[in-house]
Amino acid sequence: MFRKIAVAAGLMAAAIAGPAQAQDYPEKPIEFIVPWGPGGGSDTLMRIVAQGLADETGQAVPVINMPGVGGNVGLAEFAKRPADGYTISQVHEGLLISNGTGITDLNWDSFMPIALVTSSPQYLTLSKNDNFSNFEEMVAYAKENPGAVRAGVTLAGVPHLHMAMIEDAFGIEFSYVGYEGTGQRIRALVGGNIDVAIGDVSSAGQFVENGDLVFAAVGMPERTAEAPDVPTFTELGHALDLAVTRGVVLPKGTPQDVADALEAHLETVMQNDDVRTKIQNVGSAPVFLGQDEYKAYLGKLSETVNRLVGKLEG
Amino acid sequence: MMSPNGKSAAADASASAAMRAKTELARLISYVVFGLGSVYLSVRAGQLPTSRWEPLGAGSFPKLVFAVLAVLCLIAAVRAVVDIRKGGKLDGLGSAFCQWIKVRRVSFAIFGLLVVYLLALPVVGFSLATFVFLMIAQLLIAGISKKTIIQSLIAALIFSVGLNMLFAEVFNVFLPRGVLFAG
Amino acid sequence: MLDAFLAGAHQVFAFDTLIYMLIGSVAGIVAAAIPGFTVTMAIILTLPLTFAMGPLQGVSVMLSVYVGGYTGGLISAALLGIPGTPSSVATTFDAYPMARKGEPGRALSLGIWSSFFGTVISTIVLIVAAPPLALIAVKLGPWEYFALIVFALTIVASLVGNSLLRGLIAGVIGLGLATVGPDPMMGRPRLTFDADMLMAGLPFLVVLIGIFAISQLMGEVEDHGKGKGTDALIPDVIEFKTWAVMREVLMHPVNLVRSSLVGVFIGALPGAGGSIANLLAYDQAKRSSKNPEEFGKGTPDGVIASEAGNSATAGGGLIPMIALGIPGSAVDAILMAALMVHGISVGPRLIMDNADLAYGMFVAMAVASLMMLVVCVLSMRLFLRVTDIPKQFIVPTVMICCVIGAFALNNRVTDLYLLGAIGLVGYGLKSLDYPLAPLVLGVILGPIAETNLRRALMSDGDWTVFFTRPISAVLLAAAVLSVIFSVRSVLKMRKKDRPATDEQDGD
Repeated sequence: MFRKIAVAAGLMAAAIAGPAQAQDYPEKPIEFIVPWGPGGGSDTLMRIVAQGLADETGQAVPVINMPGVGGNVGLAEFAKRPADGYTISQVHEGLLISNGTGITDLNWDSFMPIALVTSSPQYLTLSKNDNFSNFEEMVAYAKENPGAVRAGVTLAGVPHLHMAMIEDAFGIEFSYVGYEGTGQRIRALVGGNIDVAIGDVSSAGQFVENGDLVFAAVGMPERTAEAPDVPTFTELGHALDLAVTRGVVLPKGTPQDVADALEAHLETVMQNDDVRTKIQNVGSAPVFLGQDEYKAYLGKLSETVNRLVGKLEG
Repeated sequence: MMSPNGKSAAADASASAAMRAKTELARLISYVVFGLGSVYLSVRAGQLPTSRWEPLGAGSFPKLVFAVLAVLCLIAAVRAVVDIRKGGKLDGLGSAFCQWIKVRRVSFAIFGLLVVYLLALPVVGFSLATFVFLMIAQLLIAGISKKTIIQSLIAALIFSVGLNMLFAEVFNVFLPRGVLFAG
Repeated sequence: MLDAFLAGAHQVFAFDTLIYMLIGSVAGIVAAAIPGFTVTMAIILTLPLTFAMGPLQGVSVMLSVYVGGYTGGLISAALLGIPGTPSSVATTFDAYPMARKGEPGRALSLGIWSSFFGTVISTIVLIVAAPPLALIAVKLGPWEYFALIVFALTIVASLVGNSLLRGLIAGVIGLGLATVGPDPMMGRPRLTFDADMLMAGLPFLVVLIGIFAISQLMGEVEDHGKGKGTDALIPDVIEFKTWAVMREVLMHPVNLVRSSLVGVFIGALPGAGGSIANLLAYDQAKRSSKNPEEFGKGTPDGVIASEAGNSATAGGGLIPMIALGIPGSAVDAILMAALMVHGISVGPRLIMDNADLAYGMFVAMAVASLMMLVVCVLSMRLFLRVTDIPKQFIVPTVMICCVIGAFALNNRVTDLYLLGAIGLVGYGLKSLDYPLAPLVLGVILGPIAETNLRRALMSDGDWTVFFTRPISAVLLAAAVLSVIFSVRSVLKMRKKDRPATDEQDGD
């Protein structure tokens, strides 16, 4: 109670004295709005980052799940929060696609990108079937029978974009079946209800190990440590970058020194071995891109999305 | 729920027949409202854009559901009209309605209070809004006396300030704080 | 295998693990007992704490929250007539009338023992038959899911109360309500009329709280001129015969086993879960009963079916998770995430690669169900005290809990306005004697039906696939039979006592 009063007094003093001093940031809990439901990829990864941030700063970083409309409900609420550094949120490719297809007016530049923290490599995953068992066979089969290969995607979502990128690069055509989330897609793939889907190590790795599914290609510049036998798209003829990258953002208009302080904290967090191991455990890769690099990255990503977004519109 | 069964209802059959006719009338109104609403929503759903990814668009399922609802309401309405005509007397509707409201006056008062509370919550914050809501609601139900005021005060304090502290301090779940006491 | 089993058991029976599990059990029961608070919420709150524990310890604690949560919903269902969680909707049908008739202790004991046996039976099925069952569950395509939901929709007939027609209308209103919000396939808004409030759709839990809790609480303060404004809701009888009731539950072995198996199977299907299992188990119990007219008036069979059915989904939901690494519900997804954070990959190889963990989870399930039983039996006196608290405290405070629950679900203020609006509609419907359970069933089943119908037609444009895939065909045939059966029994009932059934009013 007394702490609260003290904090409140401190805040008032700060309000009078002008913008908060960056060296004091953070001096109260930072709310972390995760615009997705509990149990999913974003939720799990961001809880790890939040825990790391809390250990680093000594302030609680409670995760607040605000799911709805593909992450847009939470981000819309986040955009309205005070730009003081005490509410942070997370974006990934989904936001750029939602913007491109016109579901939301928000875009990556509606926020202040602080740091890219995780990158989850995505694999083109094949079901066990009689027609193809690796990437070349799949492409050959799809060229002979346009539309015969059923691809499970989240319609107008990130996997749909990834599939469209593959279609575009290799000149093939899938037919699409809508699923919600990676878990559902992998289930349908194992059950033989679809033929190809985008998967990752955490949801599909063991099925591949067991021989139920096949990783045909990985959307990274180089082969991954988790699945060293899987060729990259570059090796297969076209350089495709298929990853889900998650970064931390602040509301637009946050004082620059607060943003810098948060960036510095996150950089330390991402070097923490415990955090790195946990992120790897859930099938993702810990990375760190600071404000400028992250902005450049998002800008480039945005171009790719806008080029292909026409292929997603229904 | 705890309505008298066949025996007592048979005892004053005429009164209950009139009562039934009135209840049927209220239901008839609900059928008409739901029916018209569903026709409108069905039409709206039919205007939703179709998709090139799938044979059924976003609109097909709601269109079907609301069309079924409209048909069901129509059947129910026809049966209600038949019942009302069989049941006869519909006089004293006004007083019956007043009686209906009177029985439920506290319920509606509580509900009104709830609405005000929900609207005020984001503005004045959880603790204050809840405290006021609980005080008024408890006194509304129990009536005002020295004893009830003290009891209500204690309960209201526990469930407003206490709950808020429990959630914020222990669970790190932040209930609406309100713009008046930001921070 | 025995080694792994012993290694797992050894970890679960560590003293600190047991203490944490006990706390988890109490937390789960309390959270579920409060209308508006859910098991999922309790599990999310436990999640950060388990990051600091070992994997098996963390999961054991979460499992005890989970098992406790499936039972806790019973308490407010029996004592307040408000389902504490979505999975205790059917419990209100018979446990509440029984409590009102002066046997609250019996209603609670029945539910607790049924929950216990339901969990135990589901754990046994989990241990014995997880891999084959999981394989069946994963083979089911959108066609089978759609057929299953069509079958599940036919149970509306068992939930209608006085008028079949009004029950159907309520059910279809539920289906309609669920279509508001983002379209499940493309995520585009539909029927939202550009209102912020409707943008994210009507969350099922908000509908549940609004429909049942708010309307029930408003009903409690109606004044029928008896001048007993400050009365407790239930006559003050604190009496329960724990062992006698255990024997009573065991006297209904067929119902108990059938309901538990329904719970296991529904729980094993990813996406369905406890909120359907309790209604389905209730329906099956009612249909096979010699006295179906007793259901809804406080028959022990109804309580047993609902509580055994919903508790059995706990073990059922673990089947696809442990055998294949596919979560059956949101709670299972969180459990899985907790394991993965500790570096345990969950998938078809879990039982081979981490046998001690898998067997440890089985042991933890058994321990958790025992703890739930002990905690409930010991604290029942305390819960029954709720019946002594006058209305003036119960009604407003429970309303506050509903508001917190509806808010904490998605942290959206607009959900609160929905809660108010839905509460008023629910009260209106209740006053006009519309049954409310079919509406909730419609809201649960509608999106699953629509998604799978559309998915089926995207996978294969041919409608006849619904009839040529064997499981789908069997389920659709079962749905037709179920409709025929209901129509027949409605006609029979009508012949027997038409006047009495139509006579009853809304209150």
